[in-house]
Amino acid sequence: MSYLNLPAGIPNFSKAVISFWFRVPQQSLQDTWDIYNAETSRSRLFGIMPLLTFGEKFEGYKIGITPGSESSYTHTSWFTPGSSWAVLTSETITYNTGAVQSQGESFDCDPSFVGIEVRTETADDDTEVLKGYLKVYLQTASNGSPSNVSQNLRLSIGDRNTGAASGSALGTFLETHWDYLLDMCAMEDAAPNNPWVITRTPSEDISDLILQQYGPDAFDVATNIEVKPDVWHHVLISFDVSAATAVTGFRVWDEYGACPGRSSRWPVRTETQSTFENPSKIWIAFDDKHYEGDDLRPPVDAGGIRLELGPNDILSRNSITAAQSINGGSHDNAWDVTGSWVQQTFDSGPPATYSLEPVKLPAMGQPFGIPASADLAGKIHKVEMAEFQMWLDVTLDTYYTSKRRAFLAHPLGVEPKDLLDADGNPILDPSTAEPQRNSKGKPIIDSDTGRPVPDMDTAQPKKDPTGMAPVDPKKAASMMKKQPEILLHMSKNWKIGKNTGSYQDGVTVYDTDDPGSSSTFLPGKFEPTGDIKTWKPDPKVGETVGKTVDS
Amino acid sequence: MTAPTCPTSRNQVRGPASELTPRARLPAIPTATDLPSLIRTVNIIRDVLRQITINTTINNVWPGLSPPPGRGKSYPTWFLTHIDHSIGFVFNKTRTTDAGSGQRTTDTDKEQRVYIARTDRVEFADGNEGTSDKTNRFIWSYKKNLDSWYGDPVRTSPFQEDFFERIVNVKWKDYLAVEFGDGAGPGGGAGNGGGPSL
Repeated sequence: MSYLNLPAGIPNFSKAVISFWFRVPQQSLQDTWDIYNAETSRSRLFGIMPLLTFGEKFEGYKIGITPGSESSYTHTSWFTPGSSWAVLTSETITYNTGAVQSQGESFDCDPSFVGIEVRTETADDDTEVLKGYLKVYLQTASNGSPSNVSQNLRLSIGDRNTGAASGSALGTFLETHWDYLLDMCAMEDAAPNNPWVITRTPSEDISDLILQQYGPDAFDVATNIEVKPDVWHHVLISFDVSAATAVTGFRVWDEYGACPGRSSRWPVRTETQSTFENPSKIWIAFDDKHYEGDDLRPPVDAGGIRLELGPNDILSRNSITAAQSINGGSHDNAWDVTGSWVQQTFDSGPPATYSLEPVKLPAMGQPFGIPASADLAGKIHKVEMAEFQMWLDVTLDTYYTSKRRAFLAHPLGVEPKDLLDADGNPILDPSTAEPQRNSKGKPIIDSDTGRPVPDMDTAQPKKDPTGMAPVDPKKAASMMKKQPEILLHMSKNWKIGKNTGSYQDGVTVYDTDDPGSSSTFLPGKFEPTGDIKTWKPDPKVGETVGKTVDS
Repeated sequence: MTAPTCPTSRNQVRGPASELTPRARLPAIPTATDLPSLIRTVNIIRDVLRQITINTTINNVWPGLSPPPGRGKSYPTWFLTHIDHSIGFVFNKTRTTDAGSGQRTTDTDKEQRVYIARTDRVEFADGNEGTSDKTNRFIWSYKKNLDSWYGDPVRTSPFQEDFFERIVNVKWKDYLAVEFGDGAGPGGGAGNGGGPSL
């Protein structure tokens, strides 16, 4: 395989703009899928065809579950041989106080990447179709600050006393309680030493254990943008993960209460909905189309309610987990027909909280690879690429057509809107239509033009005659008001790994703002590996044909 | 199938908390083998029969919702029955007045927009009356059109000829694209990161 590598990486950063062209052969998607299915355990870039990888690589772990300690309670059965209670039987019941979760077997987690997630989907004819979707994964080095996202819960069961009064004792030991079967308050004889108290409450906050199982926090942007194989695409990505995000989880409390004051079997429910503040952002345009909302990243439901994320808002993995965390429980006070009444309290605690301070992606000292770094070369598959540009510490809203035009444009100036009528419907091309025919089946000729009259019902939509093509990188640099830090322009530079961006001679990163502090030099020239071939013709959106021209 | 990469985790509590609470059930009726167990069995049968057959009981102290004597209808019990949201954008508008004619015009700049998520209408119904057209309802509404609703398919801004020249007849000195290989050639086979530099 072949690839370009910056072994020492680039400075840590929190904002970026990335633009490049790529074309993925169908066979490469198939190869990615085959490797995914052949691997017996999780590996890095599992089911992902990489286009760009960078940043630190962490390990995660599976969650091990072991049985908790055992405890016991005494179940005493009473009866009334006369006018008072007497013990009929007594036995000790052993129970487990609940499973304990702990750190289990480790596995490798992904570094940051831009790639294609390969999936199979069921087509209308029930056949499995292989598809690729654009995915952006941004791995931070921060674990954030969680609480109550997950707990080890402990079950505690008190002594149980059951039995029914009879004979002269009947009606002597009345207690009023809610009766589920009758759906009302009832007064019944209750055995001695009631209630039967059952609780399940947190014994240990294991939020760190649960959240860190996939490594430090990350932004997993699994888009709904399909990457069709064998055609050229342009992708323009920008993101900003410098936000200080705060999240609270969902809490629900069901108070079943007790007699009197209860109207039905349904509890009084108190809910606290999930909240989030200050999310991070990502902007993506693919083939000149700006994506937002559910097409950009999956919706986030928390407690059955969709979080009102803005069109370009993204939450980190841990933030989503915390927002979706449901804590709470119920308190109940109910009749058990065997002569006891039960007080149950299940409470997993207050709402989860999570905060992620502004982060920088840990890219320094870590290989930066196109399509992947050397240590991930086994996941590289054949791919054509062109015109890679990357700016650090700036963002770009891809919503704006004028900004997208700094990266790709129609050579003849034809805009997509020019192919639509005033109602937004495709304009039909008369030249593709069948001629209208008379009753004898002969084409009707327009007397003015001498040409057949087109049957527009058979016409095809007017097509863009050109396709969108790369724009001179100077345009983007002018718009961004600075040179890209990384620029791979022209195939001759790709082949030798020559970065013509502002980092072409490398960059010195100081440990602190003090210029006298110790520093690290990061070379700016890529190390090419393997056979990187020139490809022609130049990319255009939707272009399918092409071939390599040398080796 | 979805090829996962370090998927998002979920915490251990799933579903409504009310589902976590076990409910009382009718007890199994044990077989009697001696006098004590017979007494126990009879008592349990008695309880089960009472649970099944009796539909009233003493001391049902829940008063229920009822108006003071002579007040007629019961108090309404409001249930939220409907919410309308608007999600979309408003664009920046500038109003200008022609000095000569005094005519006022509004220009919309779609390059400047604000994302809006707004509740337009909430509707409550009286749960004491069931739901029908005649149900007593409590409604609050606010309606003001946004400039563009979330999900509108066409939201492109005009091509800016003054900033970006057309790229007709651009001739690069070299081709732009390259192909990265995946196995054949000097780079080596799958799983191998080695290979000579060019």
